[in-house]
Amino acid sequence: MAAYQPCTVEPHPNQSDWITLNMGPQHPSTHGVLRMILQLDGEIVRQVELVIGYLHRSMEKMAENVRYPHFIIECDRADYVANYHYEAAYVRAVEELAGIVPTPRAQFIRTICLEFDRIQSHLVWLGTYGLDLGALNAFWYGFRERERILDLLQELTGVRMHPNYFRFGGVKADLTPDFERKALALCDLLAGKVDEYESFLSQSDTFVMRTQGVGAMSREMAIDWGVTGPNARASGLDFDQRRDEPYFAYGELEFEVPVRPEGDCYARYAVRLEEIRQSVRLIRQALDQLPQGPVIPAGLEKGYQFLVHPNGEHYAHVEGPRGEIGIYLIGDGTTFPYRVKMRSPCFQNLSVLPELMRDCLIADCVAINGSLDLVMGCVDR
Amino acid sequence: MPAIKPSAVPLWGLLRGMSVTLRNFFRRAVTKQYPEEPMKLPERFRGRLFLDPNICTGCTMCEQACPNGALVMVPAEEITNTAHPQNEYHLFPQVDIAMCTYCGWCENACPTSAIRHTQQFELACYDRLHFIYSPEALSMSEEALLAEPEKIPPRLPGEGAPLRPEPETVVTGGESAE
Amino acid sequence: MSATRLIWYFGGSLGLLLIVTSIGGIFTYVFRKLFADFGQRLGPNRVGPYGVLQLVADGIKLFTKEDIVPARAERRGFLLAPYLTFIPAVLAFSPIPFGQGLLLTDVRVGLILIFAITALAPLGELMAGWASNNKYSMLGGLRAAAMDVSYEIPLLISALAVILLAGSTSTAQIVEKQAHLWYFLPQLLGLFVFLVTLIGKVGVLPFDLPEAESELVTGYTTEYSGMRFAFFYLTVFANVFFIAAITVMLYFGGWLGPFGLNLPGPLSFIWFFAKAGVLVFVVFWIWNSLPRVRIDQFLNINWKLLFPLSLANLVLTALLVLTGVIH
Repeated sequence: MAAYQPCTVEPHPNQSDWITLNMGPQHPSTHGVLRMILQLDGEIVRQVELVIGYLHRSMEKMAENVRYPHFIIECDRADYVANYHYEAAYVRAVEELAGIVPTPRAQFIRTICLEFDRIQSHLVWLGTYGLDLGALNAFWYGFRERERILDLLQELTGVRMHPNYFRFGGVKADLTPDFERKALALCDLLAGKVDEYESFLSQSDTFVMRTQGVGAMSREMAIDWGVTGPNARASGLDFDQRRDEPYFAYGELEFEVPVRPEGDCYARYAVRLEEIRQSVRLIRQALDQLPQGPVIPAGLEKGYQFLVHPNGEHYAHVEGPRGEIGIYLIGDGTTFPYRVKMRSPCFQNLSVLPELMRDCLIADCVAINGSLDLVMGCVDR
Repeated sequence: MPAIKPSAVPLWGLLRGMSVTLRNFFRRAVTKQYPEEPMKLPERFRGRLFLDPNICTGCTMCEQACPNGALVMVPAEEITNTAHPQNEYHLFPQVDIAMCTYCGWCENACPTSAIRHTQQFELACYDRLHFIYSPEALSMSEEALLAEPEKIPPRLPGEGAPLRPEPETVVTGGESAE
Repeated sequence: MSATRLIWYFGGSLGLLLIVTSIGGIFTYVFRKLFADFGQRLGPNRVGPYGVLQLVADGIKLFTKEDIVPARAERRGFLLAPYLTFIPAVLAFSPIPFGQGLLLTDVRVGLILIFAITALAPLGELMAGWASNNKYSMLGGLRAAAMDVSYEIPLLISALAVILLAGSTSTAQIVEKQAHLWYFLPQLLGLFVFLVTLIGKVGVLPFDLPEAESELVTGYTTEYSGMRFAFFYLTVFANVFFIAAITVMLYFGGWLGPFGLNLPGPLSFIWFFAKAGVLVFVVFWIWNSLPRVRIDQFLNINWKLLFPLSLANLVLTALLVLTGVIH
């Protein structure tokens, strides 16, 4: 095996006046610990090399050393902005491998959680993207509503961010008595607030100037680089796991998948904003159709979760806020996983960044990086 | 659904954006002033763990459910456990709350709901040893503990042994060369 | 030069320095409070009632902080640059009449003097950017210089239209000429160009490209700490007041009250500050609302939009004056 090679980007031999600029790992707008080595020609970026791994926590290896339910906690921390989605992917993988059939009510509760999670993740993105572009208040507006969602989910799961709420076969606890009322009220609030975000940014001339036509990703490029999620849908790739391979309660709910052909930062923004609207719609429907019954099948309550011992291989995926989250699971019949491979959407989305950033300005660099909605915890795992 | 698109009239969008900020300017602040304004925590909030020694059966389910070994079972002879004489070895959980991830698995695994999360989350203290909550400390509220801090010192393996063994006197490379 | 005149100049300069510095300091508090209000937050509220003593706390913090000079910085330039940006920002106020007779240097070319002084500002910014020996700082300094130099032109041309109307470059006379008609009415286009260019020249959002914290960390101030950073910080807020002061002077009748409600003599500064306060609010409002533009778009706006507009405004004003519509 080759020894570790420190990353070096040699300046172009004919371009001795290029500047090498280290953007990150500590930089206000690399959204975590991404390091970009930029070759600058004046303010124009000629080459980009990405360095990742600053947040690597060897999650996949850790999974092999804990019992199946314990890895749910790790999943929360993989993508620390959208905690429920990794959990959902992992729980789904274990369930399908072990042949556990979740209860219908739990499926709906999970769907509600996932959609709230998607909204709050998109709100974090909206806020930080506004901050990247200098619209300081977008940050406060996005986080204001996100906090409402987290408060609601806290009532359900007990904590704001690392819920450990999904269980094999169901969820940890049933909805609280006034959850439905509060959730519907929150849906009404969010529907109004999305209009506010839209009038704050969508037509603001400076925002449009900064995003329209910037970082355009073609449909072919998205396919070639394995880009998924809103980034791919903004490039005209009509692909959404929730609709194409329904899981949980998505098959019974009705929603649209927003697709834009442009592929630029503005399209990515518009797709995410539309997705918030669709998520609100999904939550309303799920609350409306919520079946009665237990939230966890008999024989899997409480500590019995630790007795799950699937055998075989399985790949399960969910549509996360950033793209397809996949868990490839190998079980060997013990209560410990043999191998867990996490397919991170952010890693694939990140890989397209040097292509998008070529020959743009430093300011565009920030706009493009922000528009892809990267969470370094998700990239590095 | 109407597509999101930029405005056709220049500057109109800017004015709309500015009207949004102005509208928010006249709204009341949504932030909470935390120490003065107490937080409203939900029923299910996962704060500090609390142990009800009277119903703890010493079954060690919580110890096995703990993902990172923050919770260990220790013998506590002093705790009288009349309600459940089956806890004959006087085994009770001891929690290093600095290591606890507040995941809720111990609460979830406990067959008698003897160990459960409370709404208490202000747990700062000056000594790292005080983060290790002995069974006695676990069964007291945080206010009662503050009144009797001597209750906190944990049951460590061996009387008076430090939390982590001190490393041997380290000889730096420069000194050893001389 | 007589002794009284010397005392007037020294005392006045000192007073001006104090006024501008304290206004800049107060604005840091006001800005934080307004920024919080726009985001539905409370802002500083720990030090004193409503956090009004935050300014003092900040001052103490900045005074006691270590003054770090990077090891490989250009030492002299690095130490000098904060003063070179701060001094023009203060000096630019000297010909501005805060009230009737409340101006330090009443020269016939007052307006030109103001623009001459503000033209010095890029020097300090460029020096700070270069001397820091940091690539972000250097890009910030270069951006600052490019912006200042290019935005000077539409700024001056739109101010020229006011000079045409007033028939004088003396700041006091420009205000006095507005007794019947504040110039923002015949100069709406000019006011727009003037405000945009001035905001761009001073470099606050949406044109804070030299400091763009999401791109260049904080541009040319990246390496500065303690009081030297405080000078840059004060400069920004002194400049915000400068925007308000000069706009009030040129377009909103300076110390004159609306509908002839003039206050006597030096008391007229109340009108001046009231009007300036409203304008400062508008500047902070814009600051809090608009995303940042890109450097090439910024220069395009200047050359392709503001520059032609200012020229058109100048021609229009000249026609108005020649035909005697306004006199």
